[in-house]
Amino acid sequence: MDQTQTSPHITPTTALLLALLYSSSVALQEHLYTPMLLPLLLLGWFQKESLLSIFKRLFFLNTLIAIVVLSMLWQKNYDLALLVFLRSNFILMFILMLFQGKDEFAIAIAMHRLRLPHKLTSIFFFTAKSIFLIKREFSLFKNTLHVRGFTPKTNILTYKTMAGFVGILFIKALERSVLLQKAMQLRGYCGEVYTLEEHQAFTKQDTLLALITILSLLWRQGALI
Amino acid sequence: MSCSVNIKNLSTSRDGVCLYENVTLDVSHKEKIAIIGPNGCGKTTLLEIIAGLRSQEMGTLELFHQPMLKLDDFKAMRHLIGYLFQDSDNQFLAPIVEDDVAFSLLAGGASKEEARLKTTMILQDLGISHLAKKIVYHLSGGEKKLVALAGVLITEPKLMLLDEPTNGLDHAMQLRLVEILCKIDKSIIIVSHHKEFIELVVEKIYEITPEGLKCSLNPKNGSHHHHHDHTHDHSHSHTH
Repeated sequence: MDQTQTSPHITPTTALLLALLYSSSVALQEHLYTPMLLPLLLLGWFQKESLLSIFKRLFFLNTLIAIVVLSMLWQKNYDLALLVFLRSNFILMFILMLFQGKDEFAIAIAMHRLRLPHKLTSIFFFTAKSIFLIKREFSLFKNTLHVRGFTPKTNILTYKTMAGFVGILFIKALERSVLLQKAMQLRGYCGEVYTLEEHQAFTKQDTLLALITILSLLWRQGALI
Repeated sequence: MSCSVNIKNLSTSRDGVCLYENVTLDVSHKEKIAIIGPNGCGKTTLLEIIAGLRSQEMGTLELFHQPMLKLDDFKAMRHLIGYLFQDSDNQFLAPIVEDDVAFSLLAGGASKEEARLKTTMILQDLGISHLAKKIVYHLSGGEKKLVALAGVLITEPKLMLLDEPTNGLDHAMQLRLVEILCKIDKSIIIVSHHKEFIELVVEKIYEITPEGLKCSLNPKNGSHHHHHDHTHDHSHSHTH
């Protein structure tokens, strides 16, 4: 079994392709139709155990959307406000449920398998790698502050500590980039990240989700707005 | 005697401070040595000079009897040198284990069939076949180290440079690494603080001092203890 995928068994390649297809279609269509809810329902069923955490993330993401929607409500543009709200939430829900349990490396693998240009794939992978490593430095530093009894307050010590922290992250990022360059030199990197995989095996869930998603985008009945 | 590494009168400094002077070191074909010394004494720096990642200030360096006068000279030697980073995360250049292990082979122009076959074999040899399809960053520290080692071994280098290979490994994994390294029939230079570990693997231990390298035969892996300074112009090795 492909161990780069998590439950439900949707391969990163399918996830990336469907995310692009669904989000671009929903974003660019003039109206939203009821069948567009079908893939969301199917994914909700696949992800029933993680729904709470998905909705939590969706709630936080909606704080940003709320600002846009409120500005439209202020201008008494109620239809547009509802359209923006629904459209954003359809796309966010779809992507959140699709990539739940998958990390940045899953996307890098998907790009790799889709045979996207080497430069794009390499840049994405090395960025994902850097984010992963900097995230680790970040949590290490945070733990250090905790164990040394630091409590953030609105005072000069907190500002200085945070400024120092950002500085350290920059220095660490620079160090990592130097080490990456050394690894590239030593291992003969010449602009390409290779894969031994010849073909991508798709799961039943992949096929079902792809069919439902395509059908939902083509079936333009029952306009919601 | 055939030499993998031949260093004469090498001097290095960092931030204007001299780390060591007149370092002379010979590593014979298939010889395993360790370099020890206090923190910041320049162990990794020496390893990086041998790997061609930084240039030396003074002295000469020969790899497989070829003089390395400038960093470009190392390009032709890359396939003969394997370098294991202290932190394995820095070494990975592909997200999936088998792709990363095969990386250097594929970058060197090998066919996918050859790379696949060698990757399967090397993963089997190291007992990590079950990790082949996993994402490298999801592995434990010990598993990462073995994957990184597989990535080094796959190109069949003649010289292996290992920077703190036991860093972050538990005792069981350290013993496994000892077992693997003892089986490898190549020249190996290990930089480590871990005395028990290096005593199980190498024949000679060199200590970095400001005056140069002080060599001693490993009492557990050599014939008997022996001291002499390698701070002079000529190089030699003694086994009594």
